Amino acid sequence: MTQPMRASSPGRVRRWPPGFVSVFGFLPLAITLLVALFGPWLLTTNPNRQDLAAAYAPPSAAYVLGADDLGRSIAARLVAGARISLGIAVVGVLASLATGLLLGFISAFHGGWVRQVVMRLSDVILACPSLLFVILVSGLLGGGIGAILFGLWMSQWPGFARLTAAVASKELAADHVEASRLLGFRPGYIFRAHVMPAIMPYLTSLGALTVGANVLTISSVGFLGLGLRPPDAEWGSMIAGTMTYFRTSPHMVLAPAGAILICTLSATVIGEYYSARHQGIEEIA
Amino acid sequence: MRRLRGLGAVLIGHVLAAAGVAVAVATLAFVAVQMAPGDVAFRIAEARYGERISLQTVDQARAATGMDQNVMVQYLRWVESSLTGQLGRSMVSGRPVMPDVWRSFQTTSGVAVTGVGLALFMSLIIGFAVGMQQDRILDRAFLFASAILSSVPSFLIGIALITLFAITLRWLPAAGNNRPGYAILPSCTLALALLPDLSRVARNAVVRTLQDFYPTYGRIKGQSWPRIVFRHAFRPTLVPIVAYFGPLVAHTIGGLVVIDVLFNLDGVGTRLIDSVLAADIPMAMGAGLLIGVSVVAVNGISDIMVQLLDPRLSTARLWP
Amino acid sequence: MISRRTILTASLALGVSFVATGRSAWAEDQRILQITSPREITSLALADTSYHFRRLRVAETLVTITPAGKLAPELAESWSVSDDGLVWTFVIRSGVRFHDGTELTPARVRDAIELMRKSRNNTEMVSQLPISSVDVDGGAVKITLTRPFGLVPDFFTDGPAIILAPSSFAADGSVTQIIGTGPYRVAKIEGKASVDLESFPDYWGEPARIGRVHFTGTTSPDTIANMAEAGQVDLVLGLPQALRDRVAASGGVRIKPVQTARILGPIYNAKDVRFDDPAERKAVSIALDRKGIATAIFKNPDAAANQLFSPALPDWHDPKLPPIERNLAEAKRLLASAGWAPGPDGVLVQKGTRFSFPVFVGKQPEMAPLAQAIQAQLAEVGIEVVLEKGSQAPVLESVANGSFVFGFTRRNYAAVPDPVATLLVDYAEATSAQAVWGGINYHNADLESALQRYVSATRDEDRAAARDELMALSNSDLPVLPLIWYDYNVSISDRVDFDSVPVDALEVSFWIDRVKWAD
Repeated sequence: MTQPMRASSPGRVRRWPPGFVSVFGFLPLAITLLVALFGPWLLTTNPNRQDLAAAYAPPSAAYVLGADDLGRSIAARLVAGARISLGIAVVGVLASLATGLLLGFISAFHGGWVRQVVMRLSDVILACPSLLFVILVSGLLGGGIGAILFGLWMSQWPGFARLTAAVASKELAADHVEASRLLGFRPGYIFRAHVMPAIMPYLTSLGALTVGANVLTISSVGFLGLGLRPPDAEWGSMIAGTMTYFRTSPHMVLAPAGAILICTLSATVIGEYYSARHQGIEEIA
Repeated sequence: MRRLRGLGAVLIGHVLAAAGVAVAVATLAFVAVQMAPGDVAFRIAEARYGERISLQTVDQARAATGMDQNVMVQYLRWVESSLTGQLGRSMVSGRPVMPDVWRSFQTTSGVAVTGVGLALFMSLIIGFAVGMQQDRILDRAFLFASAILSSVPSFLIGIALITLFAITLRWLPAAGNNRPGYAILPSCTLALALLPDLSRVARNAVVRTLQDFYPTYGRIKGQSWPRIVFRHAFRPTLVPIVAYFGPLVAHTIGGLVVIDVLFNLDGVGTRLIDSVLAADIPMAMGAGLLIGVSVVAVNGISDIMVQLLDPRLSTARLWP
Repeated sequence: MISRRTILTASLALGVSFVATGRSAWAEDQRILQITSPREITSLALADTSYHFRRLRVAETLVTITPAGKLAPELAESWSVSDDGLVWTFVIRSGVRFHDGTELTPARVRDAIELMRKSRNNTEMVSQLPISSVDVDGGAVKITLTRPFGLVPDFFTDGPAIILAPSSFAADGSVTQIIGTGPYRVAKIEGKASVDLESFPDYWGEPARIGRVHFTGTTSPDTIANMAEAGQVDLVLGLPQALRDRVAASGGVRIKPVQTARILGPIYNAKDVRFDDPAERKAVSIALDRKGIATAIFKNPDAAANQLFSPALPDWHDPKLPPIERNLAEAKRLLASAGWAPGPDGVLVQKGTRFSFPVFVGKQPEMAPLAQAIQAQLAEVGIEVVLEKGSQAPVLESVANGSFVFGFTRRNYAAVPDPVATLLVDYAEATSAQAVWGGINYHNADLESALQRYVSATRDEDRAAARDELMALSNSDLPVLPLIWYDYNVSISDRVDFDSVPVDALEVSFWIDRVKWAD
C-alpha cells in the first residue's frame, strides 16, 4: 500500500485551504527533519539506556512519553528514531531520484532502444509488489540499513525514471530546446538549462509522496521483524517490539504510531500541494 | 471485426508476457535463495527441525535435497519438473509444492478479491459523492481524511479492527482461516488500506469526466443529473480506475504480507518470503510463479477492459 | 460489451464464493475443541514433529510420563531388567490397534526400535543407547545392551520414540502420514497450521472425552493472544509468558501456569579466549540482572534461575542455593583477574583480543528484548555484544566453522524425565562434539565420570552420590549460565472445565483426551 502511485492518479487539480499546507505539511516535516538532524544534541537521555525497574512506566515527569518494556525512555527513542526512519526514507528517495533522473534523461535524449529498455524495465519493476521486494531483500541480508535502502532504491527508481523521461521528451521536443541541440550544446547543458527547471516541481511532488510512502514501508518491515538490528530505535520496530502490550500499556505503541502518522501525513500533504500547483502532472507521470 | 482481431493479438501478447514474467520471477526467486549469505543447508535444516536442528540434520538436509549438486543442475531439474506440471517437492516439508502453493493462493485471492471489491465499491460511492462537489468543503474534508488514512500503517488498521470486532464485540474471528467469516476482518483491513488511493483515483476520474463533454451533452439534451451521471459519466469514470488495477494488484500482494502475519493466514506472498528465507527453492519458485502470473494476468485484464470501455485508447501502451 | 455492473458484481461474487468455499470445519453441528500452540507442522519427519503428534495424543511411546512427572506404562504394559543390567524386557500391551486397524505386535515394536537405532540424529535419544540387539520374546521385546545402562525406559519416552504403523512410511523410509495408536487420530492435516483430530473408537485405554479437536499452529504471539482474548480458541497450550497478564486480564479466560524444566541461558565456546577461564564465565553470570529480566521481560520474578535444574525437577533442584545477585564490582574484579583490561573505547582487551562477540537474535517473542537487556548489562562491565538477526541456522553455522563464541540455549532437561539423558547428550565424550545446545568445546572429566557412574549404577545410593556430584558440578563450573526458567502457560476458555485440564511441567503431552466441556 506504500507506493508513489498517488502522483500518477489521473484527474485534475485540488486545492488545500490557504495556510493548511503550512500547518499540516511543511511545519511538521520541518520539525521532524530538524529533530532528525539535531537529535543527538537534543537528547538528555541515552535512547538505549535501560532501567528494568522502570519498565512499562506510563508517561510521567521523568519519562515524558513513558518507558518501554526495557525501561527505556520512549521520548528519547522517538527522537533517535526520527533520524533512522526519516533518514532512510529521505536517502532512499534521493538515491532513487538521482538514478531515475539520470536514466530518464538518457532515455529521453537518446530515444530508440535505450528508451525501450529503460521503460520496459521500469514497467516490469513498477508492476512488482515493492513491499514484497523490500521485505525479501532485508530478510535475506539479515536486516540493517543498507538492505532496506537497497530494496527501496531498487523498487523506486523506475517511478522517477518514467516521470523524467516523460517530462524530458516533452521539453526536448520544444522548439527552443531543439534549437540549442542543433547549435551543438552538450546534453549536460540542455539538461541543466531546459529539462531541470521543467521537471523540478514534478520531482518535488513525487519525492515528497515517496518519502511518506517510505516511512510506512520501513515501519511495515520493522513490524514484520525484518527491519533494523536491535537496539536501533526505528519507529516501526518500536511498534513491533511493544505491540504485545498494546492493550495494557498503549502509550508504548501510540507514541511511535503517532510519529509515523504525522511524518507520512505531512509528506503526503506537501506532495499533493506541489502536484496541485502544477497542473497536468498526473497526465505526464 | 478488426477490433476483435486486435483483441486476439493483445490476448496472445499477454499470454506470452505472462509466461515470460512467470519464468523470470521464479528464476529470480531461485537466484535470491542462492545469493543470500550463509550455507543454504543450514537454513533448510532450521526450517525443518526448528530448535531440534543439529549438525547431523544439516548434513541430512543437504543430502536429501540435492543441495550438494551443481546450481545449474538444480535449476534445470526445476525447469524439467515444472514443464511436466509439477513444481517438485518442498525441501522443508517434503510435500508436493503445488497443492500447498495453490491453497495459499486461494487464501490470498479470497481476501484480495473481497478486499479490493469492497474498496472499489466504497471508492466509487465516495468518488461520485465527493467528485461532484469539487473543491467544496466535502471534497476538501475527504482529501484530508484520505491523506490521514493513507498515513496509517496497515497493521495498525488491522489491530484496531481486531480489537474492536474480535476482542471487544466478539463478532468475528481474530485470526486463522478455519472459521466462517474469517476473511472479513483481513479483507476490511485491506480495503481500508487501499481506500485512500483508490478513492482519490475515483474522485479525480469523476472530476475529470464531469468537466468533459458527455455531461454537457446530456445537459443540452435536458437530462436529469442522476441520469447524466449514470448514463454518461459512469463509463468514462471507470477507465482510469480499471487502468489503476495494475498498481493496485502490486499494492495488494505486498500489503497482504503484513495482513497475513497479523491474521495468521497462509497467503502466497508470505509463503514466498518464508520459503526464500528458508531456502526452500521449489516452494519459493512455485510461489513466485503464481504471483508473477497473477500480476501479469490482472494487468492484462485491466488493459483489455480499458480497451473495451474506451476503444479510442490504442494498444500502444500495453504491458509489458 | 462489458456492462459496468458486471465488473463490480463479478468481482464481489468471486470474493464471496472464495470465502464460502474456504475450509470450514465449523459448519458442522458437533462441538469442536479448538486448540492452538506456537508450533507448526513443518514436516512429518520424526525428528521434527513426533513430539507434537505425541502432545496431540495421536502417537504413543512404549513408556510415558504422567502429568506428575513419573514414568508410566503406555504401549509397554511393564518392563524389567536382568540382574546384570544388560537385558531389558518390555512386555507389549495386547489388543492395541493402530488407526488403520492393524494390530500392534511385538515384531512391529522391534522393527520400530531398529529404525530408531539407525537414526544418526543426536537429538534423538534411543540412538544413544548402547543396544547390541533387539529380539521378540513371546509377547515381549527384549533389548540387550553392551553395558549396563539404567535409563532405558526413560529414553523410550522421547518424542521420536513414538511407534507408528508400517503404513505411515513411504518406501524410502520417510513418514507420509501419522498412523499412531493414541486416543485421537488425524482426520486431516492442511498446510502447516491446521490439524483436525477425531477420537479413535478402538483406543485401548480410556476414550477421549471430546470427540473432535481442531489444532491451529500460530507462531505470532500477538495472534495467539488475540485468539484467546476473542474467545476463538478453548485452549492455548504454551501461551508466551509475556502475554500472560494481558490475556488473563481480558476475562472469559483463565490461565494455568507451571514452571518447567526448560532453561534459557547463555552458552559459550569454552575454547575461546573469552570463556576458557571459569572466572570469566562467573563474571558474565553475575553481571546479569536476573531479577530485572525475569520481572520486566518474563513478568515473573520466580523465573530468575540460580541453577541449571528448576524446581520442576525436585530431585535435582537445590532449594537451599541462594539467588545469584548482580554484582558488577565482583564481575569486574574477576575479569581483571583473568587478564582483561579496559581498552580505549571501554571494551575489555586482552593481548589484542577485544571482549566482543556477536549474538543472534531469534524469532521467539522474548529473544529481542532479552538480547537487548543482556547487551546493555554486559556493556556495564566492558563487554561488547553485537546483535545480529537470525535464529538457529547462523548459530550452528558459526559452530561448524569455529567462529562461535556466545549464544543462547533453550534446553528442556526433562525431554525425557531423567535430566541425565540430556546431560549425556550434551556432555558425554561420545556425543558432545556434535551437541551444540549444551555449549561448545566444554569438557569436564569429573562431569563425564559422574555421568557414567550414574547411568551404570545398580544401587540407589551410588546413583544418588553421582547425582549430587552432577548437581554440584553444573552449578559451580557453569556449562550453561543459568538465567531464566521458562513457564508453561495454558489458557483455558470458560467453555472448558478448568479442573479437567492437566498441565504438564515436562511438556510431554497436551492431555487433550482428558479435557471436558464446562457444562
